Amino acid sequence: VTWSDVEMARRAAVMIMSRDYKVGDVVKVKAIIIHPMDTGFIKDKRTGRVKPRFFIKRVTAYYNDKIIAHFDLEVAASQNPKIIFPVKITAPGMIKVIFENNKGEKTVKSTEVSPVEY
Amino acid sequence: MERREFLRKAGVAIAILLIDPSILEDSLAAEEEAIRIPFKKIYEELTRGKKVIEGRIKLKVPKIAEDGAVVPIEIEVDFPMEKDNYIQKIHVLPTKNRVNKVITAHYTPDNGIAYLYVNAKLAESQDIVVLAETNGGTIFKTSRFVKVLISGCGDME
Repeated sequence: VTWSDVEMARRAAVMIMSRDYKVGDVVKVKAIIIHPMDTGFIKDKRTGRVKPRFFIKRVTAYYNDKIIAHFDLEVAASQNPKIIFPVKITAPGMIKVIFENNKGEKTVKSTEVSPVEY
Repeated sequence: MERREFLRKAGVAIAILLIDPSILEDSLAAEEEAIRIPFKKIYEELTRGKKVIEGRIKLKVPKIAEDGAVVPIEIEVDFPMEKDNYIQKIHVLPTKNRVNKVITAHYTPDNGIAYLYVNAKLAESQDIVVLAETNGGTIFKTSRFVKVLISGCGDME
C-alpha cells in the first residue's frame, strides 16, 4: 500500500446548487472539504514548531466517469477549501469529486445527477 | 552478495545516514517545507510567449475584506465553451502574499460556462489578478483591489 492508495476519512461534500434542472442546463456544483491549508510559514502556538505545508493540492471532478475539470490548489486558498464550478447537464448519472492532499491521501464524494423530465 | 561486500555496502549506507539523515526525508520535505511563489515569477511563467488581453472577465471580490483568511472570489469569463474554442484554464493570483497562487482551474467544454468560485487567504490589502487562458493560448486578464482589515495569514514564524 502506498500513500496514494490511502483514502482519508475526512468530512467533505459535493452538491448541485440548483433544485430543478434539465438536460442542456448548466448547473453549479459546490465541493468542500474540511482540511487545513497550512502554508509552512506559521508556528504551532502549542509546540512552538513550524507547521509543515499540509494542504489540499488537487481536486478532480468526474461526470459519469469522465474528467470534466480539475483544480490545482496552493496554500493561498482558504482553510476548508470550497470550490464552485459549472457543469453542463447531458444525462442522469453521477458527479464524483476526488480531493487529494499533498501527502497523496484521497477523499472521494459524489452526488446524483437527476434532471427533471427524465 | 558476498558477506564482505554486504558489510561494505551496509557500512557506506550507515555512514551516509550518519552524515545526513535528511536524505531519507528529502522527498517528503520537498512537499512539507514552505515555498514562496512571488507574483512576478508566476505571472511570467503563465504568460510567457502568450498574448495577454485586458477584459472579458467579470471578477467579483469584496471591496473590503474584514477577514483576510476567507475572501470570496467569483469569476465569470465572457467566452464560449465550444468544442474547439473554450476557456481551458483560470488562474487566481494574489500579488502581495508569500504564496501568490490560490488555484488553477482546468476546464473543458463539458463545463458549459467559464465560471469559478473560490475562497482565498490574503495577508494584506492587495490586487487580485485573474488570468483566463483559451485552448488556443490567448490569455484574458483582469484585476481588482481588495482592502484587508485582518490579515489572513496568522502569526508568521
